[in-house]
Amino acid sequence: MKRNEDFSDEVLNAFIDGELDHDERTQILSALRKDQHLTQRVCDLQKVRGLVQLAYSDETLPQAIHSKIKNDHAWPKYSFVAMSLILFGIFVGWKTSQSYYLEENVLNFAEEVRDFPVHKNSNTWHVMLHVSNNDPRRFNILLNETEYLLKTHKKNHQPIEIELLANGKGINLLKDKGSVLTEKLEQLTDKYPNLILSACGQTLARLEKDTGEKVTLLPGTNVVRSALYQVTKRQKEGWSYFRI
Amino acid sequence: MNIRNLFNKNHELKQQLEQLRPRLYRLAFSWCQDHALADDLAQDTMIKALKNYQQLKDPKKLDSWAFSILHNCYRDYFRRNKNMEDIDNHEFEAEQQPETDYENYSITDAVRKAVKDLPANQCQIITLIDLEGFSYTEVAQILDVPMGTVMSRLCRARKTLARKLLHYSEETQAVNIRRIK
Repeated sequence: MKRNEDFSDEVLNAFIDGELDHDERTQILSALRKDQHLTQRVCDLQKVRGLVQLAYSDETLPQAIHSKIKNDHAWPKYSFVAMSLILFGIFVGWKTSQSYYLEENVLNFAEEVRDFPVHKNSNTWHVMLHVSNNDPRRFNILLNETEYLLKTHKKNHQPIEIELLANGKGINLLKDKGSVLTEKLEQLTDKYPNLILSACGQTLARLEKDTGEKVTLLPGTNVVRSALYQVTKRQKEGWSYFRI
Repeated sequence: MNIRNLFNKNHELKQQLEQLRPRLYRLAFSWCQDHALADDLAQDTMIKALKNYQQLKDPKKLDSWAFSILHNCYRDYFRRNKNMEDIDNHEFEAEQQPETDYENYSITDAVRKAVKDLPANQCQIITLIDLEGFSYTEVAQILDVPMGTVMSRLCRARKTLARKLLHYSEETQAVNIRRIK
């Protein structure tokens, strides 16, 4: 069995970036079960990646200087363009299904490392699940996985606390608008008091400024100063962090 | 659907590039931290992509091809302007105001500053991987460097950021949470 010192930083980076093959990945996952130092190294790398992603997650084109390419109407010359576009669509579809697979892997990884709660004063496993986009498919994955974790931990009498954090377009998940997804989320919060909902205060402020209307969130939703601050704070407290 | 558009290469390419534009802009911004320059770089990239579309052998690789053009535009810009220094990069005494203190205090700014302070070749690699989700192989093709170089530079970049950022939250004030009834 390989130990912490046997894995270079390059290999651990490749692990969190999904660049390793199945055998190498399995080897690291097995080592993670038994080596808390290795778990800490992997968590640190994930934190750095999460921070970089969050720092630019709200960066959009400034409207004032946004200009489109000049539109000259040239007429078609090559008929294979249609085929290229279809191939491009297939490529996008393939990438989308692959990302679904990766998300599942991330949650599997979460399961793998659950035996190592780094929270200092408790045996409770603390998990933060973060969503920042408006993709119903991801919302579905998030809710299904959340329900699964809560249900299985309750059944096995293993304490767990989950915080669902939404910012950017992901805030739609926490809006009190009566959709199927929000109703499901409401049912989960009613059933499991150890499920916390948090919304990014900066996103809410921006939405309210843009639309002039107050955003109504699901009952019991916490408003935190900013998503980035909350993620950093929770990670510092020893929470496991996963972005969906 | 206008059937003519289906066969209009320029029109379709422009649409695809317009969809890519926010991503090109965001990545350029992470490299230069300048909104106007990032917009210019994204615009230059799209114009060059349209002009040189014939060079794109595999349409499925439009994303990585466009980002490699962005990389070239960025490199060319700094070659052309290597003797120029942006006055906005200087901090004057009068700028030490509570507002700027608060800005310096925010985590977003700290992360962005730490990313910008990385050597350019490390900054480009970590942003292509973390923000755009490119694989190591794709990044090696975009930047035209060996994959081993991508891995070692990424490793150095994350080490530097970890050293600068992972203890940041200890210095920040306690978060105030309010509950909606």
